[in-house]
Amino acid sequence: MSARRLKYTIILLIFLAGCGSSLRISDFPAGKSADKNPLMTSQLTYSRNTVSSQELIPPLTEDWEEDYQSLPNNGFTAVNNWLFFGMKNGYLAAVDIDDGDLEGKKNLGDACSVPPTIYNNILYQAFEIGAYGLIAYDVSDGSSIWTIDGHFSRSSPVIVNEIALFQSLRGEVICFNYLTGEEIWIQSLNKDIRNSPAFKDNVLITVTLDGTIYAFDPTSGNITWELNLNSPVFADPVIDGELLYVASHAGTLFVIELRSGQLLSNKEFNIELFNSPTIDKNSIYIASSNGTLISINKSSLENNWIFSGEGPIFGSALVTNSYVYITTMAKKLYIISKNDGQLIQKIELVGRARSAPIINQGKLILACESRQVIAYVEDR
Amino acid sequence: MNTTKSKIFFIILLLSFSSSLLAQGFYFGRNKIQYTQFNWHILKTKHFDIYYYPEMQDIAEKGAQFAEDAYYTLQSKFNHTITRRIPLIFYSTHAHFQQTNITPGFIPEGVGGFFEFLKGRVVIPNTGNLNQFRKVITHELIHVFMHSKIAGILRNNERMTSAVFPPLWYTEGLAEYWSSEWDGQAEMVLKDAVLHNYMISVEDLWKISGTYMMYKVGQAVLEYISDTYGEDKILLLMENIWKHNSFEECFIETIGLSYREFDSQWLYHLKKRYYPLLADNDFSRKISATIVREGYNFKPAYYERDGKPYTVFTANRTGYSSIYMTPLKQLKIGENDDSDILIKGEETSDFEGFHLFSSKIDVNSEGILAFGSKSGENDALYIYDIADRKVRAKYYFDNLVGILSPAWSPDGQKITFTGLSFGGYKDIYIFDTGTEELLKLTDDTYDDNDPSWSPDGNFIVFSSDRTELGKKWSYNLFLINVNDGNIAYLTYGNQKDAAPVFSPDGKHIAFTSDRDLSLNIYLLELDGTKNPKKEYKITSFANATFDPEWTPEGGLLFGVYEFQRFQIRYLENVLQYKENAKTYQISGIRRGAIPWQFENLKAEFQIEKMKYSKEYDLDIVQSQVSNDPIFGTTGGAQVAFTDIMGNDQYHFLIYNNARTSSEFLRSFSFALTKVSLEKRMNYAYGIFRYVGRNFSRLDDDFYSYEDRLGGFIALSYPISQFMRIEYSSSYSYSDRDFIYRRRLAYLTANFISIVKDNSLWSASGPIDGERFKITIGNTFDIKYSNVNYYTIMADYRKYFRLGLRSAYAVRLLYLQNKGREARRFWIGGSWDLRGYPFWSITGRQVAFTSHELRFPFIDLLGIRFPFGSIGFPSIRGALFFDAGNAWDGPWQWNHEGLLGSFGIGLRMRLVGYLVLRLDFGKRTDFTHIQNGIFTQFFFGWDF
Repeated sequence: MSARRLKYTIILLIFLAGCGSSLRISDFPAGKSADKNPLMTSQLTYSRNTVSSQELIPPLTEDWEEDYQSLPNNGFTAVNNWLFFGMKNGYLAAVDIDDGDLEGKKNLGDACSVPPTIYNNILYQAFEIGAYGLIAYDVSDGSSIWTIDGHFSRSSPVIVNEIALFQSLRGEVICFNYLTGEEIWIQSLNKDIRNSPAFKDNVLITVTLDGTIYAFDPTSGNITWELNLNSPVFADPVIDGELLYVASHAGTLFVIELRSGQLLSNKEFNIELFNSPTIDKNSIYIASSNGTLISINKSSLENNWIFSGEGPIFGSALVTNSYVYITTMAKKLYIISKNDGQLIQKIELVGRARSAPIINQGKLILACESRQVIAYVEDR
Repeated sequence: MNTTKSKIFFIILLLSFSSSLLAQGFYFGRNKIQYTQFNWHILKTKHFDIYYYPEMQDIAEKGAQFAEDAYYTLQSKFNHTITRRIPLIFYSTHAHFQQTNITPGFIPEGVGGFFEFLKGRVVIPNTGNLNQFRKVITHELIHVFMHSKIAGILRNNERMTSAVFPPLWYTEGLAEYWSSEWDGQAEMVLKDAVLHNYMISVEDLWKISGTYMMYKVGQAVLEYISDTYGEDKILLLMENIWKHNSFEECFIETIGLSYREFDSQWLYHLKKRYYPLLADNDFSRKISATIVREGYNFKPAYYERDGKPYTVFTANRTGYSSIYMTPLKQLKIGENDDSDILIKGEETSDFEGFHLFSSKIDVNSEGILAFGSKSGENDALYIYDIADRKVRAKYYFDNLVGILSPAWSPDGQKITFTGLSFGGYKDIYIFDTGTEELLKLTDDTYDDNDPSWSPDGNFIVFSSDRTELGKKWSYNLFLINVNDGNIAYLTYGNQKDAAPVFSPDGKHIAFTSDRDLSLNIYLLELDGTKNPKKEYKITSFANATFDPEWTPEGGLLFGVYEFQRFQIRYLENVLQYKENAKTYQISGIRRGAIPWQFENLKAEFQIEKMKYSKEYDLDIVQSQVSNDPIFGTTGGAQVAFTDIMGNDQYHFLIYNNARTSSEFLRSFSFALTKVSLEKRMNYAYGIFRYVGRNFSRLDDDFYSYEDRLGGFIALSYPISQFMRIEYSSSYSYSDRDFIYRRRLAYLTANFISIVKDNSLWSASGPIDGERFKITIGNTFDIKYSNVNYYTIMADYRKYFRLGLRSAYAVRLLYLQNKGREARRFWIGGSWDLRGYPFWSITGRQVAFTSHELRFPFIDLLGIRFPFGSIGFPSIRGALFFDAGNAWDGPWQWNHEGLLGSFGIGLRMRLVGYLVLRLDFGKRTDFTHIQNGIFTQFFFGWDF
């Protein structure tokens, strides 16, 4: 039996095993917390800043590709050797990063719109429609611990200090006991929220669709400051140091003091922005909807370089020490030199990218249409 | 039961012959004539395959750049990319566009382009206005992006069968909103609706689905949402749709309001916006005299006979566009105008269309009317004697597809007009009716319109986009010296100045302009050397004005849009309004400004150019499997392949009706047909095999099994848009197995028909015009003479118009098959002899007549439930009387004699094309009338 055939047989067997098969990983690393292991949320950290300490040196070559019957939604949460992702059909899947084999999947709702957050063996998955807005699921024994009716969401929850901070599409910011699901506090903003919150050092940042930023004290639920940008925001807010960065749909990047909410500066790009910026030591990288990636100086906000790619960029740029990785809806994976914006490698994808890339365990992983998930490795 | 099988067989037979060659109107229908042989080429750009012909290469390259520009803009706006190449098919003129076979139906003048979902083709005509061309390209590409984006959202969220797709007001509103600025015409529609209190809410927008008003209201709604709730909401309305079962649910999630809640805000906003206008503006009916009131009236021209003034104008009052004449007198309130039809349009090939919105007409001092009309392939310039009511002359010009807005010179000898060339550009021409010489005055890529002579005959004023502001879709006025061809600027600004006409003394030019987003009449004062001195805003109407026309007394006739109607009004002594008019100083006019034009396709976007060669891909696949307790399982499939232009089509049909497994292999019926619509003569040919049982309880040999193998050819030649000749011939080998005998025949069947159709349709069927089809033919066995019969079929239908929406319709039908093994006809049922079971009456001769009084019954029936409401538009009524029968043999009625029925019916049109029919009545054999009332329910158009 060929490897490919074997793979399909396994997938078929998994499929036949029933839609209700448990997502259970017995050797899951118990006892880890999000605080200790920042890799347990999507976008690497709760700062939502996709700067990775791992690096892959181009050229890259395809390692594996797998079709899991549904498209991963907006990214992955990587934990050690596993890749967790919610899929468009409401299934939650765990995949072995080494070979892409499906370790398990579980139908938990109707549609997952964001990757899960994992904390102490418990996986927290938000749903955009269906029965529950949030499920806490024990990955080690495959059981649901608690569920939240309604409160549908397109936000990855933040689990920190034994509380789960969660925000719904309708603008409720809710704090739960992470083990029992008991509600600790709730704030209703009465505004739509389409992104995930950012968190750092006891400040929870929520940005509503109408462009209002709220800073919460996660313990009390009190709003410590708010700022209206008067410009709709789709992108996640990003924290870097003591600064908060918010990219608006109308194409403006706002720089705000994290503790006080004071607007420090802004820069207009005049391009619709759906993705959050990525910020490293010296630069900010703006992934735009017209395919341009703009690197600007973090201090002066002056342009460093502009890279023009094809098609809207899907998700934020992934930045490493030397490279910037972006995927686009025009079926491209670009690897760009961080120093001068020169194209290092362009890889034609088989379909429109449906996730930003992540790097984990020496692989660059992304989702794209029709082939679902593809992993690349250094071509040695 | 026994007849069922033979009917199925007959339907298959019918389907295979009724390829789209005939399907352009199937039985009747107007003809789409392929006048022009297009030499198609392909320009491959980065994202598009542009189909064009060499004569329009320049416009195609500009269009290609428009498309590439739009692609990048939309990619960013939709946050989406399209991963396939998009086929864009360009035509240089609308007349060429009307010949396209990409859509099977007849394309009216108002259609500016379309996106075809099956192959994702975008078909767009140029109209001589590159700004409009750019807008339509962007508009249609928005549909492409929207369709792709929503399909992607559904696919990625695994909702392959969404219960909801955005409604038309949203899809067209978005296409308008993101492709064009809010302009004077859009403002005209919205303002009129608000000020006249017929503004429609979002909740009720379905009631005006597909209308121009729906486009503009949709655009305004989305603009309001964007301004009030954020531009991002527009996109979210698409992105959220997969979660919901209705668009309103999606709207509630995205905007946070139900339709009703939104409407209360939106309608209030409109009132706040437009009601204050009435403080400084008036409805034109309060200031000026009403000259015509009924229907939709355009382009007034002044005419005088025996000292009495008249207005000649184009109008659509009955569904057909025509030219009318009416005395120039003020109508009293409630009084209807006394207009005469001079020339009835859209009924004959001479006057196929008068371009109501874009072409003025003119009458000279001798009472001779000049107008342009589509007549065959191109427009013709007509010279018409109003007194004699006769066409004096008709001129076609080489390379001119369109002839618009002809205007007489003061001496009544020459005519200036806008000509639209084959290549797609508009220029100003002068035609000398004496020498029949044509002089081209301008020769460039600008959009030149509405030329008009100065009283001294030395100048022509016209509207054009030739200032550099033209790139922003602005039109200004220009004066061309007829003697030396010099062109001078008269106005300059970012506005649309249109329809200029000199006053009788030559000192002023009246024109319309959309400054302040309001279409009003302006006067341009000239000095002695025809230089502009001052501009005056003569009218401050709250509604829109068009096409001013001077009278010798210094009054102005003009068109208005008011209360959803296009009317004609008259303003006396116009110069008196100068005194209190808002004035504009003439400044900043740039004489000899830099010429401009839209750039052609940039080299970086161009991949290659090549000649088009036909490639076929799949258009239709459909299959059907049925199970019958008596006839067993039958099944079949149909596949069609067409080329990108839709000119050539291949149809393959296969069907199996075996009753037992042993019959399976020998029970395959199939038909392979090639249809060509590329040239004026349409043709089809193919081969077929039909095998199966026939049952007829009336024949001696009531059961037979026939195996028929052969080929056929069919031709259709349109004489005009309204009439065609059809010919078909088939040759087949027929092996027919009756119970007691076997019959072999080498059959040939030949039919020739003449078909006419100039009918005008309302919601449930025709209400004006006539149509007929007369067919003769024969079918005979050339070897054994086992089969030999002739066929006569005559079907005549005439519609006598009684009112705008009512008519008396008559149908006369005679059918005859006579000879050996002649086939039967079947009548009875909702489509002909009502009150009798469907196809229950059969014979080899049929005589039948039907009479129907058609009238509007209920325009809109709405039912509101606690949980929502539904509406049924266009319910029509009919009083009917049918009589006829079918019989065999020489002229004798069958045992039931003449049959008839009478009663009343209701017709309701659903989802555009499906008409439900409900008839109540009584049957009669003309000696007795049925006790009780029959009820018959079915679907289908009125005859």
